[in-house]
Amino acid sequence: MKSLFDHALTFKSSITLDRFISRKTLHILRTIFFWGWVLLGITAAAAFTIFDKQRLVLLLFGGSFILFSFWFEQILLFTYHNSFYFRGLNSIIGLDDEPISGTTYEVAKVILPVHEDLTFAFCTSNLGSNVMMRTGLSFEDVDYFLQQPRQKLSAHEVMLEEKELFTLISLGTYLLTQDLEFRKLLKEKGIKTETYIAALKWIIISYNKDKQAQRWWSKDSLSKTPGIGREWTYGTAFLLQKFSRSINTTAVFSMLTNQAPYAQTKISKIETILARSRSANALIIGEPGVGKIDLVMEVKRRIEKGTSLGAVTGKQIIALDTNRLFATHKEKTDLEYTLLSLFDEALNSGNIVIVIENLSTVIREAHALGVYIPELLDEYLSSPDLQFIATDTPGAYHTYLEPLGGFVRRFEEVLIETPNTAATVRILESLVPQSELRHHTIFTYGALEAIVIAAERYIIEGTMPDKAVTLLTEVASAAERAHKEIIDADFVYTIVSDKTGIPTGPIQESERDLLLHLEERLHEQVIGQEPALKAIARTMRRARVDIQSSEKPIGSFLFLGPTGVGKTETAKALAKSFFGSEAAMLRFDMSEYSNSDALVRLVGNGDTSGTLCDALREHPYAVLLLDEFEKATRLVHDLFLQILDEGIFTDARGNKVNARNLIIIATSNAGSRLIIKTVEQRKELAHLTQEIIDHIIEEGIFRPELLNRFDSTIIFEPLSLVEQGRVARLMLGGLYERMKEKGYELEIADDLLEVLVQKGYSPEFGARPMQRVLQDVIEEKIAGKIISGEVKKGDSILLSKEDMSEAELAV
Amino acid sequence: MIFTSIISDYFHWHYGRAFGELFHVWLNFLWFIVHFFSLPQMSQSLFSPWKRMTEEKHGGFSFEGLATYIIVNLLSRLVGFLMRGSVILLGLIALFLTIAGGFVTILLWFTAPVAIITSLVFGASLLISSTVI
Repeated sequence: MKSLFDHALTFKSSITLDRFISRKTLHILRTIFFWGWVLLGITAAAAFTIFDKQRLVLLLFGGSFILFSFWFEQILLFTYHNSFYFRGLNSIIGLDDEPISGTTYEVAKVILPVHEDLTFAFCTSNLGSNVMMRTGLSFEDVDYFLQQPRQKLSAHEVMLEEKELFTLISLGTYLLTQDLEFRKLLKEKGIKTETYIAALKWIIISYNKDKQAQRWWSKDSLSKTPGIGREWTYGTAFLLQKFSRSINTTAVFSMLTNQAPYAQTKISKIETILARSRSANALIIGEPGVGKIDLVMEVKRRIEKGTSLGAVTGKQIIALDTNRLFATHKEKTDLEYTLLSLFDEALNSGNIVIVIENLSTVIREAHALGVYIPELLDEYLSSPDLQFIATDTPGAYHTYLEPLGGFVRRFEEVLIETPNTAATVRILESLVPQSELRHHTIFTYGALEAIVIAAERYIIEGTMPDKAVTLLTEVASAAERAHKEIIDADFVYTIVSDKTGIPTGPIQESERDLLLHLEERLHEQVIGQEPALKAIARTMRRARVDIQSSEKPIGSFLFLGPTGVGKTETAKALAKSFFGSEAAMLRFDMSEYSNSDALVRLVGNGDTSGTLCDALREHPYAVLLLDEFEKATRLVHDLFLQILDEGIFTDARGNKVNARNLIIIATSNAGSRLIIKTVEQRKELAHLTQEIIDHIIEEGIFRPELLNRFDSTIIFEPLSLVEQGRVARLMLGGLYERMKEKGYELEIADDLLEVLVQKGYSPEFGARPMQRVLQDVIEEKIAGKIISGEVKKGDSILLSKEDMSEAELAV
Repeated sequence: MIFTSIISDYFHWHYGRAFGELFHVWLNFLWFIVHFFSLPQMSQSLFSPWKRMTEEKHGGFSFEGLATYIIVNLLSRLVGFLMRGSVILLGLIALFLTIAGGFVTILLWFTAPVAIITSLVFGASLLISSTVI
């Protein structure tokens, strides 16, 4: 067993050489010496044959030989350096199973100069400082940390097993486990160890990939040049080429190599299907933007590289340009003739795989011209000489393709699920270098995680990984505009907040104030209901700090209580507080959804879209108020069971609708009588809530599983006489404003208000009768005064008990 | 001291590990030649028709039909053979050159340090001679 330092010594000479003369300088000198040698040699030969000037010839030949020796020496040095520089690379990047032990050139380069302090050595190295920056640590943080007195780890103490390979990733991980102060630094800066490890792997793996690209003589690099003449055994499909298009896309998946087992499995599955002798057709099903065509591209790339399965070698993958096909054929017979000729020709070629994107759309478009594609394709689908790869979305597959039965069975399905967070982050990792180069910015790993989380949670349109890729581009552009060099998670959330209008990421000062005093804010619009507003505020605070699941709506509440006690007003107040305006409230009167067609009206059918889907697509960030929820049908309740649980549902066309950015509030009068009765008996609210819920379940108004899906069931109590007085004052405030706009100063005396409150008080109907009393008595009186000319614009109107008749004040 | 160490390490590598690495690169080039000229595929389909350009047999017997069938198919196979044969020939030449190049490189590698010094000394002597004349 040898120490890390002893292993690193193997590289000492090559590293010293590199310090003396870098690889870049070696390359420049090599080029200069080569061209010098060649040019002097040619000139010398020319001088010898043409001018016959011996002295000049000797001079030139002499120079040429000297430059040749220099060039040759540079070649040997370069080869020598390469031997150490690339040692073990194949094994590290998974191209080779050859066991390799010891350490790598990079580790040796990092530790040899400062072998008594591994943390310092790593943090101040080029790759190490890049890792620190990507982790989210600033240069100042690292610098300050390194200057503090700390326990140092020596390379002599790290003992390596006989077959162990100690790479830079191993060194980074070693520091995390052995250097407690380094771990403390990460903790203090709020950096998770997982983020550090992920950033470490990201940087080192990309570095190794770049390094691999320099080695043009490796089998992997050489295999990128396709072989010649492989298609000579097969025919040429001229017509297909006329109606074909390039399938070059963003190639999200093809950028992934060994780190994406997910994509690799799918690619291998497509290859296996194509390798079969019969019915070797694949149907790739996945949401738009999930990378379906990228998988096809990767299969094509493998075939060209010669790394595909033997039975697939020599296949030509050609995408059918259906747009052009339909644009140039308007008659049934024309289209049929072209398609048949095209398929016949492709069949005779013997090695063609036709790619048809959005198969169901193609079938429907052809059907509009009277051409029935499934029938037309049937005989070709079973042929061993022609193969198809079709793509479609899950929704379209279920709606249009599944009913075709036998036709679909000719294809083998390859289902592409939306990649999870980790897989999407890896996709972004591969795209970041291009983006950074274009926008002159640097992404931290935390920023990539934030992009994926924010895209998943807050971006409604599109699917992953597409929307994460789009967000990455938007964030990079925004950073460039803001002259921000390093993009961190906070910046990503700021951009997402600006884009969506909902607060995300770290809580800002104004928002902190709103959250901490949410009860008071809600109280500005809602009178009483102390326990209810407290419960709502608690839930909303939890939601904002992401304690609860991100796969659910922001918050969901069931408001129970008699009419007119402030349920709707609370929903409006929440919309105003969280989404900036009362207009951000989508109100559905669920009594309108009590018939058998209720579900269809909400989620649509094949032809028309549903009201709920439309509303959520137009206003994805809002308060969804479901009034009189108990009146909706059981099927509608089932739909909301899913929405409350998963924050997502599927419309009749098979498209997903996101409800994760909603605060869902269902209101119900169920149990109001019991509420009034128990409140009158002055029971504790906690006791009352359970009693009401039990009563609702017993009555069969809501099923227990539905009630359990809500974050909170809030009981709104009947208003007391004092609260009713405050409601009346609030209502009068609105009237004062309106009168002021008309040019009158209005004032209602307290004695009159007291009588009116008593007149409008109703525990059963809440504040609504109060509204009517104010309209009937006050507004009526004012109207009379204005019409009779008793008051003119600019006058003050003071109403007291004396101004009213007995009848007007009668309770 | 450092340079002595580097030079010593270099020679140790040059006459040791380097041979294995050169051999490995040589194998890569040989693989590439076989891959680039598609030698297995070309050999397997040496007499196949050129791009499947063939004439189908039609129902009923006619000398003209039979002659067309035979001539077209023969021509297609002939073109295929000539094209593939040429590529195979080029591939074999490239393969031969690569094999030979490998041996030359190994030989050159043995003599490389001497070749460098010889070339340097010879070049310098030519320069000196040019000043004498």
